[in-house]
Amino acid sequence: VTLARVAEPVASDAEILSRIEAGDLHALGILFDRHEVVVKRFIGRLGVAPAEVDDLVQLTFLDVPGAASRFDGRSSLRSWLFGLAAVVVRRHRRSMARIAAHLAAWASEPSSHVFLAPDEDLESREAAARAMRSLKKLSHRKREVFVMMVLENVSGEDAARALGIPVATVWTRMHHARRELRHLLREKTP
Amino acid sequence: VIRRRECPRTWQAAAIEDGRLEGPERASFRQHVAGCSVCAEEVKSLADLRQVMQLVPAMSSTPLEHRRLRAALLRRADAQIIHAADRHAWRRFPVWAVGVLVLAIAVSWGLVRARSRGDLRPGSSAPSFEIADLDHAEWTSAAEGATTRVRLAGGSASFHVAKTAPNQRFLLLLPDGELEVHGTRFLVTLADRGTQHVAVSEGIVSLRLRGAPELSLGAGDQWDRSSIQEPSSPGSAAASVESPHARGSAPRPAGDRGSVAAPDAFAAGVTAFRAGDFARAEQLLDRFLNQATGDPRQEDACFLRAVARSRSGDAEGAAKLAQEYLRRFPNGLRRPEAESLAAAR
Repeated sequence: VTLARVAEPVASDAEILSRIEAGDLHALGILFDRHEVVVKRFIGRLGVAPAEVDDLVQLTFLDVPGAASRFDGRSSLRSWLFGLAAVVVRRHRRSMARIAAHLAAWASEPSSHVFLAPDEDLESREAAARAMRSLKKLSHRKREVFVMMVLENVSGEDAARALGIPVATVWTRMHHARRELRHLLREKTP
Repeated sequence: VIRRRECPRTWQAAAIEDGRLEGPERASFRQHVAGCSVCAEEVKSLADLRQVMQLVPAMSSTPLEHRRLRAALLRRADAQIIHAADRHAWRRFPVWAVGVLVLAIAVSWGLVRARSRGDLRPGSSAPSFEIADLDHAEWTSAAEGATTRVRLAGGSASFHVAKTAPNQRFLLLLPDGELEVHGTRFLVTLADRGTQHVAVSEGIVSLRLRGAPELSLGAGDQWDRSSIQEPSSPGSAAASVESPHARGSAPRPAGDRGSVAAPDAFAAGVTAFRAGDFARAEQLLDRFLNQATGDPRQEDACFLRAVARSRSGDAEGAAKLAQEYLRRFPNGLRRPEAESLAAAR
């Protein structure tokens, strides 16, 4: 007997969201499969302690059922998820209860270059470490815009919609983020 | 090649980097960069920055970690859905709680107002009544708290008083006494500055006239002045008991509202006793004892008859009557006094 695997029709992100809004957990699983990588990468680049990234990724997707009705389809679902993630991260930072977890995470947090492959050369590892340190020195709001636009290739308009700010504010933050980063990168490594 | 420290189009380097320049402007800036070292440096600097920042490490999950995270997410989402109803119920709590509170306050306020007006306290207001003038009736009325006083100065009037609560009183003030009503229909006729006639059609009234014991008149009872007047006249009282003016059933003394009395020689006997006409009192009481054999006032009449004989100065006769009392009512309430009378001869 030959068992044929029947492929499930690929649902659009909008369909997935409407199913999630109706309480379909299977749809939430599909959304997680599609976007977990980028959401985790985005949150990790916002300066969250590695030990807390997975939790914040989950919190981001847990916010989807309640926020699904606000997705208007004008921006990509990916950038919309970045907006949810940014809110989750801000909420996380505001939580004073997280301070202790931060301290514990920092105490055991390895240096950033551990995320690099061991075969990368020393120069690349040093450059990556310098970039990470510079990025961490940006303010949260500038970092959100910079990561979203430069590292995740989100358009300025989508970033503005995702973050709920005017497009002009996005350009302003980008301008200052670039200026500060170039200054930071020119500084000698301590 | 243009060499200068500043270029007015340098900002377009960031614009083209961000994708803000499209079409002719984008092509124009590309041509400009070819001849402007400042803008060319800016474009290169921005590209270098992007390249360097792309080195920022990116976290990722292994397939196993992804499945673990996915399972954990779905568990949490499931719990979130399950407990959402509870949370929504608690969110709704203030709404219905406030509603209940407002309702309770409204009801309490209404009760307080009603109590202040006396609406809900039975009998806290004066009893309601109606008076119909039958023959030149003159009356005034005054209510004080739960008591209504109607003063009938003359004439004849019919009264209808709504059933009174225990603490409500309706008093009809008469020139020679008063009449208390317990919810009834009755008729009162005055003549010669005194009560001439009372007829009760419903309920019970208590008639209290000066110089006469209180009478309880029930439905169908009528009272006529001739029934008690001239008590000192021998034979007249007895005649009044059977007065031709008395129609329907005879009035009953207070305290015997439930039974149908025989001709009320007892009341007349008591009246005569109080007036000091002990012989007449004994005669009436003796008549009562013979006629109203089933009346519960037999014990009182029997004892009072012995006292009347004693007050007449006939101790021996009083002793005999007292002995008769003791024989008929060996456990009577007047036994101690009767024993004294019986031993006094």
